[in-house]
Formats: sequence, C-alpha cells, structure tokens
Amino acid sequence: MTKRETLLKKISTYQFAVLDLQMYLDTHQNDAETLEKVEKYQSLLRPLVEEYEMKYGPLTKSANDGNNWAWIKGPWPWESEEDC
Amino acid sequence: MVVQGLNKERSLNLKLNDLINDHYGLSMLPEKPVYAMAYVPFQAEQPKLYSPDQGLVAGTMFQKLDKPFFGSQCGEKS
Repeated sequence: MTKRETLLKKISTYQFAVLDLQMYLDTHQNDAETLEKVEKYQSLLRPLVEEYEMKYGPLTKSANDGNNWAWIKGPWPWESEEDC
Repeated sequence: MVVQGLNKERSLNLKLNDLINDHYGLSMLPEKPVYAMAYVPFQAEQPKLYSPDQGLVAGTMFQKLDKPFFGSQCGEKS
C-alpha cells in the first residue's frame, strides 16, 4: 500500500465510524457517550483530510481549494500506483 | 422487554415523535404491539462499540449488529 493509500484508508476508517454512529444517534439522542466518540473521531478525521488534500489534491468536488477541476486529476481508485 | 399486552384502541393520529415514544419508549418492542405487524427490536442505549478499524472491517460499529453470514445460517460474533 502506498503512503497515499494508507492515509486514504485511515480517512475511510474514521469517516465510516462517524457515519455509522451518527445514524445511531438519530434515534438515540440522549446517548452522550456515543456523541463524545463521534466528536472524537471527527477531530481525528479533520487533520487527516487536510493532510491528504494538501499532498494529493481534493477528496471531493466540493473541497475548498480554489480549483474546480483539480478533483478529477488522478489517481482514480482503479489506477494502481506502486510505492517504490 | 416483555410485551405488556394488546390494546385495540390506538389512535393513528399521533405525531411521529409521540408515535415513536409511545411505541418504543425505552423498551425494545412497542408496549402495545398489534397483530400482523412486524417489529424490529429497538437498539439498546450505549451498545458496545468496535474501534474504527474493527468497524470498517465488520461493516458496523456495533458488536451486536455484526452478524456474519455463514451460507446457511446467520450468526453472532462471539
């Protein structure tokens, strides 16, 4: 796995945790403990996204980097890149 | 939670929140279940969570919702 892929996986990991716990909180609004976890994971996620976008370009089309076309610059998920 | 018994007189005009509270409250199943309706047990508060790494692999952050399929039966991770 390249450094880029490793970082992307970390981002996916925290994004998934946040999303899954937020869906639970939709129906369990009084669970402060889980809400704290969500906030913790979000705070861990944010710097990773920043780091990724600084190094490798925007993750989403709406990422705020001032260049509307940068997000289509590869690599796409199916384009392999070996770390060597 | 044990089902409390059936009640025929149920108003259908409750607001959504009232409906949810009335139906579920803090128990897993509605207090007044009706015939011919399927119910999904309400998830308990403060369930045991996986770490984000485990969660991504399992496809859920919740230990009790991690139900791998073994081909002919469903299971729960021990």
